[in-house]
Amino acid sequence: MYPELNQLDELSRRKFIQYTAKAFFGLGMSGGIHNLFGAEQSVQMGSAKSVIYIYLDGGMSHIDTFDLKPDWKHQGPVDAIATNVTGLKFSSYLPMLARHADKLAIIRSMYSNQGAHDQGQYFLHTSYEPRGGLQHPGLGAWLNKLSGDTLSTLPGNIRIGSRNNLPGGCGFLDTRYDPLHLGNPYKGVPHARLHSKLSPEDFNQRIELAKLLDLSFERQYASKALQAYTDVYKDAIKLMGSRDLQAFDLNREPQKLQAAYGVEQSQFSASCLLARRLVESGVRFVQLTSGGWDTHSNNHAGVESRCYEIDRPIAALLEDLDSRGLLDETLVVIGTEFGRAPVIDQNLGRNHHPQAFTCILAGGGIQGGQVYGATDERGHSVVDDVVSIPDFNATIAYALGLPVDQVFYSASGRPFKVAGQGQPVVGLFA
Amino acid sequence: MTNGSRLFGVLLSFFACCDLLGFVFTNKDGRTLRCDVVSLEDGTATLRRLSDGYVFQYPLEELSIKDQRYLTDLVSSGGARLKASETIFVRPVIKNNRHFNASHRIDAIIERHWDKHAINSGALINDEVYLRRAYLRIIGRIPTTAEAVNFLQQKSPHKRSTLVDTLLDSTGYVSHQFNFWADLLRIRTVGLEGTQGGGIYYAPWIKEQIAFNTAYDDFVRMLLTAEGYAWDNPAVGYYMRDEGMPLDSMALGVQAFLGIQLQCAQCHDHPFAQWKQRDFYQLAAFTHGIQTEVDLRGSKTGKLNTLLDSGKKAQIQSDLKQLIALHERVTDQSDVVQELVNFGKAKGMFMRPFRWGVTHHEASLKLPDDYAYADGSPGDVVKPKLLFGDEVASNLRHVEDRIQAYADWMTAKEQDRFALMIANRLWRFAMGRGVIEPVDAVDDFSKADNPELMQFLGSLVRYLDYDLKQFLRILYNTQFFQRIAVIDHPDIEDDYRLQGPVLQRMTSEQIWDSFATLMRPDIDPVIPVEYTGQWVETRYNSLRPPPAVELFRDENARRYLDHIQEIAEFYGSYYSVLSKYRITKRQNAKFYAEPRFEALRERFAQAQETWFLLHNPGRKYVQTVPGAKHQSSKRDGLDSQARRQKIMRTMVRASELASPMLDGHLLQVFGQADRHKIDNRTLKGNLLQALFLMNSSEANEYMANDSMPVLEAQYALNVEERLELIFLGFLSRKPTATEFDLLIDDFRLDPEGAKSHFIWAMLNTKQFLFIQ
Repeated sequence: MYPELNQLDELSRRKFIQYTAKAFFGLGMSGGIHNLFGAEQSVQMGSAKSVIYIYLDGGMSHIDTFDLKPDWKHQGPVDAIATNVTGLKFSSYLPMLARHADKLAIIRSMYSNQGAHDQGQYFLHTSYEPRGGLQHPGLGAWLNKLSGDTLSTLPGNIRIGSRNNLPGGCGFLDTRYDPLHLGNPYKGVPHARLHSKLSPEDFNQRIELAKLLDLSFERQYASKALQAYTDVYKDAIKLMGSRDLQAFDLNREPQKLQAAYGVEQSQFSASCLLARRLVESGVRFVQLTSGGWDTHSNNHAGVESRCYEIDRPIAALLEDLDSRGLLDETLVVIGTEFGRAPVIDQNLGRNHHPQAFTCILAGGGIQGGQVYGATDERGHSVVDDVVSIPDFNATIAYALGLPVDQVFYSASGRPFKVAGQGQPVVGLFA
Repeated sequence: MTNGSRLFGVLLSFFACCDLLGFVFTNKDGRTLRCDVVSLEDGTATLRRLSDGYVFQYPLEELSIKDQRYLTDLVSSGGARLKASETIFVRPVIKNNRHFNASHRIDAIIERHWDKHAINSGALINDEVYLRRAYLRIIGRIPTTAEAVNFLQQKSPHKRSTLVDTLLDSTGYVSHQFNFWADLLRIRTVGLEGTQGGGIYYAPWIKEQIAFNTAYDDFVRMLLTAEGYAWDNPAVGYYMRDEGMPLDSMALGVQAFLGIQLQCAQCHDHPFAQWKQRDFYQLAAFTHGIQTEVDLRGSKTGKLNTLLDSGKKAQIQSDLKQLIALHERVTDQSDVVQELVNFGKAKGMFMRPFRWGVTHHEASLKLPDDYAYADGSPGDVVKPKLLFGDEVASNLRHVEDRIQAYADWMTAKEQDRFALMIANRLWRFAMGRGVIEPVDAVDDFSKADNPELMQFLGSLVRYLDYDLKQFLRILYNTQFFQRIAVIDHPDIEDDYRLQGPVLQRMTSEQIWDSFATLMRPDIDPVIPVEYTGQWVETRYNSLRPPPAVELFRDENARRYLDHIQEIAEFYGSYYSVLSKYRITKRQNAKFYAEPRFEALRERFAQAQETWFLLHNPGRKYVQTVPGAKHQSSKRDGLDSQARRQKIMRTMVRASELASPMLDGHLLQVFGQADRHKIDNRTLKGNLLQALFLMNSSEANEYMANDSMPVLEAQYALNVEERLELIFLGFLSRKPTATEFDLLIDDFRLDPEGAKSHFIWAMLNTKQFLFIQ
């Protein structure tokens, strides 16, 4: 209908391609991890294809959950209960997870040098300290960038719940690797279908018309920010009407399974089930958030209620993945930006404590039923096998077969690695 | 519509601030005039022309359809009950042309910068680009069709600077500035921070300060020294929103006002800046006496009597004395009899709002348990010390003196950083990028894109006595503001060379506000918004204190205790119904549908309402229980007109909605800040945005059928003009010759179909989303 447009559009399209190539000289244009790394690949591939990352927002108290200190005077009212692994004890707030301890690797020797939320969260999600104007990518963006296009029409990187501005998005990579943020797990993707009053022909015509109106604007302002919108539209159109959208329909799961997760009880439970469905549909990285772990006041009651929220759904998720044979190729991560202080303060709370805390890995080739590292008698300092945040992220990357030693360059020519200076804890794998 | 209009003989008493509420009216011939409304009576509008104050009458039917609708809506929505005192008063900016010298100075500095670095400056932009930029940057929304026509047809050589003044004095300015401050100060009107944390009182107060143009140093001082309850002194919202986290609160304040990142030093020496953990604690020692919980049992509150010295002192003091007396009377024997237990619980619930307010205490800060440096031991009392400057402050012993010293230090005129930081933030607000970036972690001001400019802007803020509106007026009157937009690649350092303002996607608020502008003509707020919220049993409303406080001030102690007694008597039966309801619900999947549970649903619905009204006497109960007949508010049966009005009620400026909006609201989809962290809005594109813009009813139906430019275009004289008006309404520009040639035939052949196409396409352009 608008022949001029097609002609000119080819020109501007090429311009964008050139632009993109220039901006990402470090990575080149081709996706596909094999093309990029081929024989030079020094690290062994892990078995995980996707990640379900459960982020405990605010800093989980390790002392009240996975690293109990029954003899410490500030332990509080929590009891230690037996798990299905001999000798391993969890907090009595986590009775259901205790029955899946054989699937978990409990890393009790986590260490961070960032004690404030902003900085700690940034570090956890990117392996870098926030500094200067540059934004670092998160693991979900790296994974999708380095693994080429998925077979699914769904975005490869999705976040469910919480807020849409957690760090660790696409960083300096293309905006298309930014996680799609879904505020509500029950609602799916709104407006994913063509409007009822519009025919596909009319839709295509309108798209062409919009490009026409933008011709000179695009020429004048060819930039990463504009290109990002071109990509976003491309992905959105690809998704519209796709069968993959069924992944968002939780009601396709049997009632019994929904009940096992506790789908009606909390958004977090529904998010866990949705995460499994998404991973099954080819989404590579799904992050869920459980909020409220910043227990500055009334720590014990706070941790108990937080644990109540996550205990059942995570247990159900592990069981579900396992029974479907998906646990080997799905890495489940429970991460938090720091732990909480051994001492109960005047608000009956625990302060931030980056010096020692606990994170957990399961599936994806990880040896379950193990405890890695240890803290002292108060849970204050790491005494054995310290694992820094970048090490933790490198371990996740390793499980996914991402090259942790490879150097990539941002547009400004600065060198970066997938997990910063982190080195994988190879001993965690089976 | 006009023939049926009833007699609306009510005067719209806008007089006190009528200059500022002007609205551009369009008549049927497409001519425009900026007026304000005096009255609407018998199909005749009485209007007052803003240019000269001339009052005249005009037949309603001679106005464009959308203005007719505006006027009748204004009256029927209760706008006619407006009193001048209820409307938002915007204090006009001082219009002295000598201030333009500062604008010239800025341009001269920038020109020297270009010469020195051999930079090609950007060209000046045309009126169309200027128009859209000015509206978006100054008042945060696109111009209406009428405003666009009005500006573009003016011939005056000073029309740009006249527009700046008009916009700065409009309520749209307050709305747009509110988003800036809400992002910076993390103002939330929802959840815990909104209710118990005082956010619903704090947000309107912030808008008042913007409208009144309170000097910035006074403003910050009011925040830092605030005391009392949020409904008495809304400025306490500053501390209250960080309830229980005094150390974080202090660090975030230092980041917001001084651009220093201290947070890291809370737990250890800062890894790459000069700050030690000891510095952190020494500074925190100044604000350590600020407490956000009020201990009603009296052990600590006793000290309030000597510390409070605000205007509300007597009131608050006597309130607190009585409260403490009440508590003592009850707690003595509460464990003896069940009745008394219930009374204690009822009292605790009902009087909960009293427990959160800002009080000042004598308290000393100690080094943390894990303090690991050689210059102190865990548990040592920390002596206050400022990060730099005044050494004398370290010797202050009393909490009041320390808080004053802290506020003095932060806002001191000699303090370069304070003025430089706000100058830089506002430069970014106006131009899209700070002179020094990132604005939140400034180690060294000499690293600015141009240090001379940075210093000049800082000294300008001080010279203007922290009149931020005048400062913005100066920025908007620079040639620099009128330069062509520049691409600033986010990942390349030194990519930007101060050639002009930065090309930037609109913020989510600008996008939302622009959509709303397309949907209704009177989009800038006229009446202060009424925020509401509920926390546990208490219903909060921003226009009045919480119910327990109101009742306390209205009634004597005896009657107050009687009311609590009523709650206590109902307490047992309420909780027995509640627990029965919950258990039955959990055990029966189809609880809401099955008739056999109807009686229980009914009983619970009534108990809910009674419980609510006991806790919130005089407030409206709006909650409902699904599946119960007992409904206190009607939800169904809205006719289409009512439904339209309901939609229109939500079409208000983002600043008048909850802060922030959550769960898939458009504002969130486009990246609104969560207002937990400083300035964490995002301008990135995502799938959901594209899907909304392509497939929503808004893009496919409302905009095509009911938007203001469409209504406006109905009165165009011919088809060419109609096309032009639609372009002006959505893109603030006329079609180019090429566009015109390509589109006009379609438009002639199938006006309705083509219109829907064009509008959809315009909404899906990048030029709609980006500010050039």
